[in-house]
Amino acid sequence: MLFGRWNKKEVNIPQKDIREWIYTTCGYCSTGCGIEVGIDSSGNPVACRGIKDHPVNDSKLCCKGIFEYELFKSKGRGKFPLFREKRSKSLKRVSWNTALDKTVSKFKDIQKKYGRDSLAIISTGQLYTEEFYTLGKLVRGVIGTNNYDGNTTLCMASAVSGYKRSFGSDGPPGCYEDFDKTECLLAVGSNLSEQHPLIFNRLRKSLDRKKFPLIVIDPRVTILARMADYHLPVKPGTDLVLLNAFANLILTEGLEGSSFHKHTTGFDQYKNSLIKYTPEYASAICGIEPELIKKAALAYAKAKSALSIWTMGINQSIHGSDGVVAINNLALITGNVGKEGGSPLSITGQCNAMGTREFSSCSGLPGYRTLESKKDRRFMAEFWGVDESFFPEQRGLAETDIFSAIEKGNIKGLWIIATNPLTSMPDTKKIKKALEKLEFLVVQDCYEDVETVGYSDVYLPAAMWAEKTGVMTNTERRVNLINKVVDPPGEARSDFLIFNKIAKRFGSKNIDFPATAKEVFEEIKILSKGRLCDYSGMSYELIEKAGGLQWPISESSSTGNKRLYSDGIFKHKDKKAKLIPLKFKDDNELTDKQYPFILNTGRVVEHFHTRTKTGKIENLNKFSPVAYMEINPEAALQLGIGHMDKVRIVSRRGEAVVLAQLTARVAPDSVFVPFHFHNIANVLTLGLPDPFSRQPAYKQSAVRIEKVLK
Amino acid sequence: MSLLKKKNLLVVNKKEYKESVLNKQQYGFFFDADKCLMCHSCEAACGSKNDLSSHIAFRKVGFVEGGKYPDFKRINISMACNHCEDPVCLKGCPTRAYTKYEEFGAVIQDPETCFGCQYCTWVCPYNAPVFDKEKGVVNKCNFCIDKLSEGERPACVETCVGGALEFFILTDIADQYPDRQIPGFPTPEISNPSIRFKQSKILPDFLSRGDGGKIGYQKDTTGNFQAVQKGKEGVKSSIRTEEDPLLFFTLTAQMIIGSVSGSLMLGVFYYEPFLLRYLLSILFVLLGMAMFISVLHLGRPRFFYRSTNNLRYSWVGREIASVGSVFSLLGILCISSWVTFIPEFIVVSCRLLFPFAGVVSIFCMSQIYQIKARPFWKHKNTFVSFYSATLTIGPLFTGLFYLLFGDGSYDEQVIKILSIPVLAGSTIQILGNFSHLKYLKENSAESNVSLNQILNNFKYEHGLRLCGLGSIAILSCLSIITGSIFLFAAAFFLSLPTQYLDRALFYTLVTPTSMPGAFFWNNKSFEQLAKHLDMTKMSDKVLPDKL
Repeated sequence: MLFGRWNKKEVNIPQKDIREWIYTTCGYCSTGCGIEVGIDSSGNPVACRGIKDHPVNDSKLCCKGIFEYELFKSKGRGKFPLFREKRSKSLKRVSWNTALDKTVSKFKDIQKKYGRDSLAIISTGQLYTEEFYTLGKLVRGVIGTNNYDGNTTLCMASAVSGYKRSFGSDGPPGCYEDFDKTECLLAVGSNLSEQHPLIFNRLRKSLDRKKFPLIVIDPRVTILARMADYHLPVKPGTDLVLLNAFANLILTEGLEGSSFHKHTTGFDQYKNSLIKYTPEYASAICGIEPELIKKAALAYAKAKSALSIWTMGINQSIHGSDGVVAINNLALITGNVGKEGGSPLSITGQCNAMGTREFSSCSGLPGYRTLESKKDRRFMAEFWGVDESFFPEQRGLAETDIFSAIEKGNIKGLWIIATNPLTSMPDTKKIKKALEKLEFLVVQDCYEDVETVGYSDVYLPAAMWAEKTGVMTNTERRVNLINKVVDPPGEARSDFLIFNKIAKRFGSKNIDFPATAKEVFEEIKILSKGRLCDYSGMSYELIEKAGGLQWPISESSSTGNKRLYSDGIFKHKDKKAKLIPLKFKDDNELTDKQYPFILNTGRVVEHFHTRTKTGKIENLNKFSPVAYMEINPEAALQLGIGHMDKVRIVSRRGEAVVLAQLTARVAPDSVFVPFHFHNIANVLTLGLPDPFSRQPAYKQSAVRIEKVLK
Repeated sequence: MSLLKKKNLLVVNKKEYKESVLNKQQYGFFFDADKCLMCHSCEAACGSKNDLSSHIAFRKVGFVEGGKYPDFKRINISMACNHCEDPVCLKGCPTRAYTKYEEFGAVIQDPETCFGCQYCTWVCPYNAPVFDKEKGVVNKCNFCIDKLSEGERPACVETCVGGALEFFILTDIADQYPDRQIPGFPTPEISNPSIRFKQSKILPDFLSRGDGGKIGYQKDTTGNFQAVQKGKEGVKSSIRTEEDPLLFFTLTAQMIIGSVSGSLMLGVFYYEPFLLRYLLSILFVLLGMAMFISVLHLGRPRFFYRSTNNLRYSWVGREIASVGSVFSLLGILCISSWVTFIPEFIVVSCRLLFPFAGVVSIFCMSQIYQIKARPFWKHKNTFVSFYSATLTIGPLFTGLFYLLFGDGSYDEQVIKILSIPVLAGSTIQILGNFSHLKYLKENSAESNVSLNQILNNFKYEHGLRLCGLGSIAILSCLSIITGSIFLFAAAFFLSLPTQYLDRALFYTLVTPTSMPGAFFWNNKSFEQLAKHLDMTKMSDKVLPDKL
């Protein structure tokens, strides 16, 4: 050995001894990738892989999906129910019975003392559809508070509202196949490659096959913007003007289709409203050359089919709903709704934001039914066996307004399910104050270390993704199955079971709460029959076999419908879509001498939402372990800030310290901070709500930057 | 190389090959820089496949960027081992942990054989081998040869979301994509990497690195990018480095070789041979200690004996072997000075051999640092510095010892003789230093960065070093003339801190070629900042535990 190694050497490469792969669907974003979790011989999940030939992701996964199996063992998981008598004491472990008894009796007390609506419930986009439906039944049929909303108000409310205003119902008309078939893509406020890498993959493959114009409207030079043929670096908050200018150009050039008149109403008013939105007018407001606006608008209008996508750049804005309607208007006049390769497709945020929209009864009743409709109320009352008068006749408060109502003292009790408003809501200080003011707070989450738990009186440990079975709906209306892979840790129980137990304690009397998710799924199918979101042709088995099924799918059909409204029949009473005139009013928070920078917030690829999950996966967290701020090198030079210096961002609401990253990715008058970190971005944001959707405007706050002395 | 190449690939658990896919051609990665999204999927897939702890990554993605808003461009670069056709890691490794296989042209490193000297991490221009502090061994990309032998592609390639990573037989794509360079990638001249690039988008004239490194990339007249130094403001780092054990080892070994050779060759102890036995004993123990410390510097010291596995290629191995022989010769000389049973011819040949072995071992020691990926060291000044240290502190130590313990009758004569090598050594070292500065200015971006650091951030240390050397030269010159004990002693006490400073700067100022990192991950300056700001104590983990 001393003089070298002569023996032939075997190459030893670590092998994970995987015995079984279990079919699930990813629980992070709404792309809805098919994932198989690998189980080794001792029953531990040790790997994840993309499902081969899956209609969404065809064997590929992003970094979050690849390490999703590590979530089961991540630290901070809640294993036991916790309770405290007084806020001054610390949370102590109690039995499920105690926790639930205390919860229900306190809920009842509060409702008795202050009225039914003094209890509010904030849910999420993270549960399975069966769980959402059960929660909806519990809240609308048993508890009976009208202040019940999902955190989807923070991400998808504007899209929902925009779809409802234009087409008469929620429900994205397009699908992923449109990326393969389209001849032009318009992306507004969507950082697709970081937010939805696998949808981006679809787009990229399509672009590899054939060249088509890519128009990107985004104040940041994202990867998508760098790829674009026309990148329109719009001044934050002025996208509505730009979209109106697009429409103006299309109509002036006579490039609108002819067939849309049949399916729409309000064209004349719409046309008149656009007169002042010339490219020159838009240029002055949006800061983009008129010539560039013109080129982009014409490329969009001239394409045989054009797909328009948007994400939070539009939704999280003070005129988010209007922005969505503006995109819908463009699609309507160019005939790009429900067409192969042409639709306005909102790219959703959470894995089951769609499910909560369909069946959670948050903003209405299951199956896109509304509280405002007497017919729907009567139908659901009969179906559930509730007195019709128990339902409110109008939707209650949205999440954003619930916190204001707590501040005013109108809401005394709160039940938070799988969401973390202390990091996700704008103006953290205000949320803290509100939570402190509550008489009773219950937090139900799969992690006991979410910031909100610190303010809670009861903590209910929930099972998470793939610790239970159920379905979720993705961005393209594909309902997909998550099989149970492992048992939840300790005494944690599925949200479904927790809802059922609470229903029982609340005294659900005539209302039936089925014992299994599968039975609930059957109930959903019955309810969905004939609705836009028709599930009736689905079953768990069929879903798994097909890699997910897209609704609407009728009982007699075996494949789902890829697109909505292809027949030109919309959901307004007159079966037509509406062209809605939109006025732009600049009511964003404005910059001034004291607060000269516009703060934009957004995501990074390695993290999801408030980092409760991804912050614990070291292999993801290492890519961005602490908060940072993108600042233009020119602006940084003026302020004397260097790469990786500590800086303080100050807004009228608060301040946060981050590391500076010098990059020309952002405009000299803007800075960008990822929103994932607690006590950072949302300490600063103002978050004025959109008048239609009540979604907060996260992306335009005025701030100043100060150097932190070492 | 032939010998190692001929080894057959044998993957544990995968012994049944499909013969057809066991291709004996050089495969390589193809990277389309236009397409990489920095979505981390390749890194994640690699980490999951190889079951790596979070502090270890075989594949890393960094970026370079430039331009003015909104005409901003960024190139993300995903890089693992390039399975070079001329693997410098294999040649450098003293334990022969590396093997270049004929199958797929894979360069495979065996962590079981590795004893953690980390020399491969020095020589690899692409930072492909990574040292795992937890296990004390180096590890690196294995080409997923278990998958290759089943006809599949490496995990990173299979998972790439942007369609940027591909895997080919190199000759198949050589015509279509001859490019072996993109901005941020060190020169392919060093090791002939098995990688091809595509980068077709028009880039701005200047690109800087995401990790904020001091190297930027400037477009030249032909449209190619050249690495240049970026910005003059350097970072004042500590002069103490992780290589402190090596600093101690090299300086001590050189002093001992100088001292013993000087004593033997110049006949200092001719009239007082009994003094020599004490000197030899002290130096023998000291050399033993120095070697022990340098062994402890290894990730897995208990496998130190593997250091001579690769004498055929590795200068590290040769150095260890030659210092080992110096130690043995010194041992024999030492023992023979106390006992009489060792035959005279052995003692004589040891006396004759010792200076020769000393010169050879210092040559090997200097050769170790002749690393293309570390231009600061790759200069004749490394030889100059090492030999000069031998010529100065060695004889000075001997002289001082003589002055302290001799009977004093020959002091002046001894001082005069011993001052000659000191004068020569310090003079050469001063000249070497200047020639090194000139070289640093002209050589490469990395050497410019080092030069900038010398002239700005370490100007006092550098000045002190030159003053020290100058003073030693003057003192030794005066000693030759006057034979003054005091001047000689002064030279000795000046030489120790001066040589320490010289060597510390040698290890501190080296700027290796490197792949651009990202803002947080694979960024040394963030690691330092996080440690400095005590971010590591935050409840959320900022750095992986073992980093």
